[in-house]
Amino acid sequence: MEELFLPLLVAVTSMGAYLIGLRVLGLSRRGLGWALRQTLEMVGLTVVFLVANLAIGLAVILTTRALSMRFVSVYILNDASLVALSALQGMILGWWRRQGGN
Amino acid sequence: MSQALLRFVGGAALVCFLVAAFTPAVNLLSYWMAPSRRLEPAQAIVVLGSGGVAANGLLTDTSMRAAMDGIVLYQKGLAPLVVFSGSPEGNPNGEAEARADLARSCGIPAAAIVTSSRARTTNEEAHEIHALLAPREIRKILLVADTPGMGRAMKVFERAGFDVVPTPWSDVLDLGGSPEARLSQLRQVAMELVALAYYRAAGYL
Repeated sequence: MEELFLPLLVAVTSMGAYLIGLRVLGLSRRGLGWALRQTLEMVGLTVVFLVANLAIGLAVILTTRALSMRFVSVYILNDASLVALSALQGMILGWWRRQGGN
Repeated sequence: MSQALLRFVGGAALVCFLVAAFTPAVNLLSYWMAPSRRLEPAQAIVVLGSGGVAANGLLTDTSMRAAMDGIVLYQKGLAPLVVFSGSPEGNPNGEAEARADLARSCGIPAAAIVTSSRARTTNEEAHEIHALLAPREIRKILLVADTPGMGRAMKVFERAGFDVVPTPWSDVLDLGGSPEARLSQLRQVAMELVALAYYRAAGYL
């Protein structure tokens, strides 16, 4: 039951935000669909950046190992901060794409 | 990249995130990837490097846990010798020697302890430890490694000439883990899949 606490918590606050958006802020349901599609695009860009960061990072580490006597562990790529940084990259590119289209 | 493709990738990533964080899928994937833990007498216990030592010279949690597993296996009488491995990077002789100190403080005689401090990868560990144990005619070992990496480590050590009994030390079937712990486990599994692909491409397996 404890495992469901976080998903339920997020579901409750999301429902609250939905009701406030509709009744207090006067937002449209159609706008919510648009927002969800934009969010999926941002997450997609995050995945693209994450894969690129991991692939290029791995290539740099293996090349460094091969071309020098210096040993670099591939485990330095195993860091949660890389996901956050990739998300930041994805958001910036996503907003830039949108701005470029206007 | 088209918007539709980005949305598909984003949707798939969100589904994967939810499944990984809020279901036991990652635990089951780890369990499926790793050989089952077996306990049977061998000629030596080999504890692979894992996590190294912190800046203060103390063993990290993962390194200490693996070392303790090796110590307990020795105390159960499953082998007369324990080999502690550890990377020399950053702190020469740090991890292996710190583990040996821990073992001695737990009552294991110094003569029953061997350290290996020169290897930096699992493949190097296999060859380094084989060079240490071959003169003693040791072939059958209990291999102590983390669960996601056990399958790869086992194959590398078998290729080096050992008869390996797998004894992974982490509990992958702890299905009640927190979402954060499961996501951490997912990262380990993903890293291990990349390492497996690299070892195959490099001809180590």
